[in-house]
Amino acid sequence: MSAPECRLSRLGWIAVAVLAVAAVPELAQACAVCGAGREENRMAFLLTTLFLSVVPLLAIGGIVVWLRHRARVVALEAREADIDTSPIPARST
Amino acid sequence: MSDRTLRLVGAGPSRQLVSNAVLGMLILVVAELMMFSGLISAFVIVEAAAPGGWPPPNQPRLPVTETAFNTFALLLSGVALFYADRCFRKLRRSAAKPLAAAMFLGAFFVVFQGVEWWQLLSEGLTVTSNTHGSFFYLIVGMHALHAIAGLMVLLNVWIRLAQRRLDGSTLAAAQVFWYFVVGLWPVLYALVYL
Repeated sequence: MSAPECRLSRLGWIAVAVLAVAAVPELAQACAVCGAGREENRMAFLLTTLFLSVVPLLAIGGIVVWLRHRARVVALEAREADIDTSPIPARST
Repeated sequence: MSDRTLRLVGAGPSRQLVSNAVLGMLILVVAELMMFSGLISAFVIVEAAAPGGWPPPNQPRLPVTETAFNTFALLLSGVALFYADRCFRKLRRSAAKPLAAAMFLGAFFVVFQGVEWWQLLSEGLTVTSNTHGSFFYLIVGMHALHAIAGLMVLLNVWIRLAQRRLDGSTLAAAQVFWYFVVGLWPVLYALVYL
C-alpha cells in the first residue's frame, strides 16, 4: 500500500501565487521613485522620461522632414532642368 | 550613375535624393543619440538622488575654465569642416587646408581631454571612486571615443582628397558624424562640468 501523495491542489497553487504577488509591492517601494519621495528625484524621473520619449521622435521626425524638403528641392531642380532642355518651339510667321 | 542612392521616382527619370552614405550615417547618428540620451538620463537621475549634493563632497573639482577653452577648440573644428565643404564645392583641392585644420583642432581636443583625465586621476577621481567619477569617465569617455572615430573618418576623407578620389557624399557623411560629435559636446559639458 503506497503512501498518499502530498500535492498542492490547483487552488493551493493559486493561493501561493496570490500571496507571492501580494508581497511584491512592498519590495517595489524600495525603488528610488516610490520610496525616496524627494521632489528633485521625482522631477528627474519625469523629465528624463519625457526626454527619452521625445528624442527619438524628434530625431526620426527631423530626418523625415529633411528628406521631404530634399525631395521638393530635387523635384524643383528636375522641373527647371526639363524647362531648360526642352526645345524652343518654332515661330510661325 | 551609381545605384547606391535614395531616389525620387516620379513621372520622369528617377533622381538622387540622398546618398546611401549620408542616410546610413544619419541612422547611425540617431542610434548614437539614443545611447547618449540614456547616459544623460541616468546621470540626471543619479545627480538628483545624490544625498549630499552634486558633485559629492571631498571630490576633486572638474576643470571648468580649461574645458570651456577646449570646447571652443572643438566648435572651431566644426566651423573649419563647414568651411572645407564650401571650398570643396568651389575647387576640390582648396578643401585640404581647412580639412587639416578641422583635424588638428579635433586632435587638440582629444589630447587636451587626455591631459585633463591624467590630472583628475592623479587627484584621486577614478572610475571606481564614486558615482561622480563613474559617470564622468563614462559619459566623457564615450564622447572621446566618438571624437577619435570621427578623427579617423576625417583622416580617411583627407587621404581620399589628396589622392583625388574624394566624392561629395563621402565628405557629407563625414560631416554628419563630426557635426554630431561637435554638437553633442556643449550639452555634455553643461551637464557634467557646470
